[in-house]
Amino acid sequence: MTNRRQFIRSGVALSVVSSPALSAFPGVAFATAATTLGLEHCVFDNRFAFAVAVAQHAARAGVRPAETSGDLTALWYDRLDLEWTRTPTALGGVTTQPGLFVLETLAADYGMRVIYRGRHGVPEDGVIAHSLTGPAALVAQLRAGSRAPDCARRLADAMTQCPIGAAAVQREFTTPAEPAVTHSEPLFSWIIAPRFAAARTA
Amino acid sequence: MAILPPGVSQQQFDAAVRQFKEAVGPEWVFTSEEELHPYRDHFSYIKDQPNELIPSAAVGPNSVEQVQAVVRTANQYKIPLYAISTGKNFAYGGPSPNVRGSVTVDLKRMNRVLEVNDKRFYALVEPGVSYIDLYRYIQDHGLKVWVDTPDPGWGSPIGNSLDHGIGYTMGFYRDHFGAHCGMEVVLPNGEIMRTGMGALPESKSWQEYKHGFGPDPAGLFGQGNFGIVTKMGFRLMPQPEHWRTGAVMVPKRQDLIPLVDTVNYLTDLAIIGEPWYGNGLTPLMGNTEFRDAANAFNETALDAQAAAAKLHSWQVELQFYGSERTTQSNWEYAKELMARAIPSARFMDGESFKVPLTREQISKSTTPYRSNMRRNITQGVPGLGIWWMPSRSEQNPNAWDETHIGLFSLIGRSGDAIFQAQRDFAAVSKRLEMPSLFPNAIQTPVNWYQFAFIMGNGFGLGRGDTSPEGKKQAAANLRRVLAENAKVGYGDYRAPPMLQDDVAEQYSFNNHVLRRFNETLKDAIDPNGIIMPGRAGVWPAAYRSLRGSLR
Repeated sequence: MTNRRQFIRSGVALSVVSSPALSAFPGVAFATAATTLGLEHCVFDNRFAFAVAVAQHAARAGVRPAETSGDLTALWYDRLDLEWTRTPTALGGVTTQPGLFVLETLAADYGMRVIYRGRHGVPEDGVIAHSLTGPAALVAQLRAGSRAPDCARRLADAMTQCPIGAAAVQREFTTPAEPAVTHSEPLFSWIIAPRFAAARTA
Repeated sequence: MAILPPGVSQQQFDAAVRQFKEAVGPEWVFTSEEELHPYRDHFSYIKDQPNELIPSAAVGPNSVEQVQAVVRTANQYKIPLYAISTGKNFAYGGPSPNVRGSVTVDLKRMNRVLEVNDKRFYALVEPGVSYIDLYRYIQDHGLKVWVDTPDPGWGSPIGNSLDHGIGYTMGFYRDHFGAHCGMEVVLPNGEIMRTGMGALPESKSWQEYKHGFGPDPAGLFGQGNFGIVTKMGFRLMPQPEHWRTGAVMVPKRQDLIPLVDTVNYLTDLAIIGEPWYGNGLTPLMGNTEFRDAANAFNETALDAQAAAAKLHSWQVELQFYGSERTTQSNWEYAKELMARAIPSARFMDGESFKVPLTREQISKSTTPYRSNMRRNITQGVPGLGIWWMPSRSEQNPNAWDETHIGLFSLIGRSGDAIFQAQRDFAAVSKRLEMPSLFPNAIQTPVNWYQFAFIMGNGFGLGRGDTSPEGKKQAAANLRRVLAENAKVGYGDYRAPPMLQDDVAEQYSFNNHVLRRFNETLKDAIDPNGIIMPGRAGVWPAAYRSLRGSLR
């Protein structure tokens, strides 16, 4: 059965975009047939149960998990550096801020940037504060379901259904902290994609 | 937020941009705010301020010929250029220029490894090659040489060495600029020059003898603005067969003096790699009595507390490269020398591995003592793991006071000099009413450069105030520390663009004759002042009025 990721990737076409990366390889464009972004990987920091859960749910949607324990060297050297030199591809993840910083910095060399960024604070008094910036539909989806259980599944669903070319919004809200969610430092969910995959912000 | 280079009209700028596009291709010239986003320094203290150091455009040449064309256009329209390799020199300015409105020359597309020779132990690379790229090339080709990598390893050998960056293996290789051998440069007039034996056509030893004949201008390109380097050779460390470590612990505060003397001897005989100094009393940091004694530099009390807690005062981790036998012999020799100098010294064997280490061996220390070594860099393996520190970004600006905000000053290479610097830094902190993050009495230096000690100071000046006013005050505090340090003989070895004038100000011997000398050369070699004006405080005549303008 063709899963969502395969369907989206079948629509990928190679072309030069207006802002290519300063690597030897020009940026990648997606065929206009695709309306949602295909994620190649879901990077997750295995020190945090929430990140692991998001990656597991994303894997069920066909997104390959990419595990890290905080140090991204192996992921970069063994996979992303080689893949992005051939074809920069979109990826999502749940990591600490340093993890996002490293990937965001490296992605800029390939004409890519963060098109969705979510900060999920440390649980305090049974509540987690979230600050999300990204495509309006994705942010709205997460905010609408904020009181529903299984936030990891909802986040994975939203990220794997990220619309292409949508205008970005920023929203802040709180959710009840689920017992399984116990991170001791803020976590960041994010999507890195070619610049054209996000509409220009206002 | 489109800006223009200083003194350049929109018409002139547009004409220059058209010529840049003809030179490198329109897809490699960037002028929009979004395209220029990667060329901002997100660690800048003046980020988002009206005087933030941002470019007006960026161009990405992929050949020396294209670089020449860009330089000629810049001369025609008198547009300042700022060359970057990978642009990841974070906390030292990253990709940001010294002059707001400069055009960034992004050399990342020039990313060829031209040669690596593992019998004669050298490499020749282009500026867009990162340490990770060079390491991958060496691994893919099965070559038995090491890169001496900084941390993280996403920078480039050319960019890092030209900013006097450093590494962590054997002494000679740690000085990255010192380990270079031969370079090719596009001069401000667009001509190509090669240094060392490269000035002799068909030379067979460009990467083996760096001096060539006559005066060697290579130093002008290190932290300099006399040209754009398009190729650079480096001496590479042969891959050793074995790596061994050990720790030396000494009980009393004054034992640091003979400890350092002995380590210096071993270092300068090339018996050990980079030594890692540490203080043994950090477990007492939560103890008020200890902190009081440390802040008062009360040696008697500190020694008594160390003895009572059964802690050593200082330790140094030593590392040995060679064969299994030679590393063992050298470690035995090191212990013998230490025992002669400090009879009460204790020793602990660390680890002993055949090289290359496995990833697991690199990632997990099994020493019986607490090791401060970041192991990948001792093995010439570039990594990204150092970014465990919270990292600043637009979305997390509050991390800025937890990262690389501080100064690294040259101090003398002796135990006495360490003690003096501790007191001097503490006195500056007190005089300026800026408390140190920890008692200066337990500070130790780094021995990045084989023959020099560098010690950090001025950290924590932000005090957590991340407002624009707070950042401005932090920058002002750093400038005050620089000025005070200079009065007692401590100068910095590197700085971001916004502090380079202040560091250059420290080097004031004979009414700043060094700066005047460099600027005389600059005006002669670059009459329009287009190559990185202001870098390291060297201002061409055309832009000299900008000196100190960021204060």
